Amino acid sequence: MMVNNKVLPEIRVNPVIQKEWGWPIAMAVFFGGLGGGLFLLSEFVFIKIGMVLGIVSMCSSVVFLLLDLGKRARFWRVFYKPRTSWLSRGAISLTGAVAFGILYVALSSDAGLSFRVGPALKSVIGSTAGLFAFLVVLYTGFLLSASRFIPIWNTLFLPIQFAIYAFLGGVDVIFIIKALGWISVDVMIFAPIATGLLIAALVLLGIYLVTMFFCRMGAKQGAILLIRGNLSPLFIWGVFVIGLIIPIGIDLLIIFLFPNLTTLVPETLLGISATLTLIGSFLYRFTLLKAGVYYPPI
Amino acid sequence: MRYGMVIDLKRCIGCYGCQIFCKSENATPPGILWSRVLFYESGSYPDVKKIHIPLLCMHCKEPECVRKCPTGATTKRPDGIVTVDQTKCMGCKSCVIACPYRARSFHDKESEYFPGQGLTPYERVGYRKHPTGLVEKCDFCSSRLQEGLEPACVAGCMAKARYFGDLDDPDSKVSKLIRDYCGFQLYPELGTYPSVYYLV
Repeated sequence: MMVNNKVLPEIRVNPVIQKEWGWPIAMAVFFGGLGGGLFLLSEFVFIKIGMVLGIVSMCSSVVFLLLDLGKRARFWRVFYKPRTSWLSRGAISLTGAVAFGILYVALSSDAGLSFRVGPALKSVIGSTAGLFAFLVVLYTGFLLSASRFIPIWNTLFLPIQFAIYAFLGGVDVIFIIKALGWISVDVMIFAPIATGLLIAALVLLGIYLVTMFFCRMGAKQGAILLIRGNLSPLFIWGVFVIGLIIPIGIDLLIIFLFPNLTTLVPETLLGISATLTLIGSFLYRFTLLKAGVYYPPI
Repeated sequence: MRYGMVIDLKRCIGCYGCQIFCKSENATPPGILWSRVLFYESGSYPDVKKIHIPLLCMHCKEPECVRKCPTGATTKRPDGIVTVDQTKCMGCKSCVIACPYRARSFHDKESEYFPGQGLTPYERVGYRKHPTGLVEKCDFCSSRLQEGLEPACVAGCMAKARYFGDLDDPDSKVSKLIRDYCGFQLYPELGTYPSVYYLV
């Protein structure tokens, strides 16, 4: 069959921006990634309060997902189609991570249930919780990147960036609780990791924006919105300057000025850097959601 | 059996009649249009063109909304019509995000056509079909089809620019029009295989 495209070029004029997903989804994605990353890292170095905060963060993600629903009483239907829906996969991952996470923390607590199960079963539960937490980290990016008709989201850059931000968020919360004096573990081994993740996030974000700028319609308009449009103050100052440049500067300063990392100063500075990164991390999700321009523009 | 529609853009005069007939048939709330007409102007004087593109749910053969719906509320019927089951939808808006033709609407809160004057009797009856917190869309006027009638936008088009029928039947009016007049789908490169064709 012949296809007549005579009128098509003429109607590709106005960008249409998605308005359906707003701040609740940005919060859900932010807390989901943060919780998953924090739980995994805390489980790795066994910081119990970190694991608890990771679970709390994932629970917050569930709350924000619920807030965004039109019929909250039917939330259970979200589990119906994990074969094709990333929202479904995300809900299953969140539920699994929270359920197994709580069980693992309970089994690990001194006054808990540790005497009732063997170490093998405990490690199976811990690994399952970790696996689900990792799936949560992945789902947050894929939820957006699976949107075929929003080109600025429909790229593999997004899950990678979201995963980097998730682990970065995890490290940041560990720095903050250390700065608050809630844990006595030496967390300074994470300082170079945090700097590496920050630099990776910065480089990837730069490559992502340049790529989007030279991509098909929709992606380019989204990138323009982020760089020059209404979202540019939040994106450039919030995501780039506050969320990446300043924290990288602080982290490098700490690594070079305090090589021993034993004084209180670097801990406080790391806490400040971590807080700024978390602000940038949320703004990154929020601005990206708001820059969702459709292709086709109808 | 696959229901489909053909819209002849040369006949369309941009009267927005389809939009009004759809509203009156389905009593859609303010701000929600199952059938809409986009209007574009292109070129510059003296070579200016005015184009009207009537849009509705394309009832795609490969609907992205069905894949993205996490609850199974959006399904494709054997006759090709894509529907939303109001008893299963939880209003997550995944399908709204997924639809490239912006054919879906989320009914957020009940509002009236005459602000401050309450719902009219027509709205009170009509809004029973439009509970809040759910996603809704064109269903090719399924209730009319059951009665052997054409969708409201087709029956009401004063320019006779719309045709409705079975795309799988090579002898149907719509199949012949598509074949004889090189009917095209809107944005075929998206790979969703819409069941609404246009003629120019």
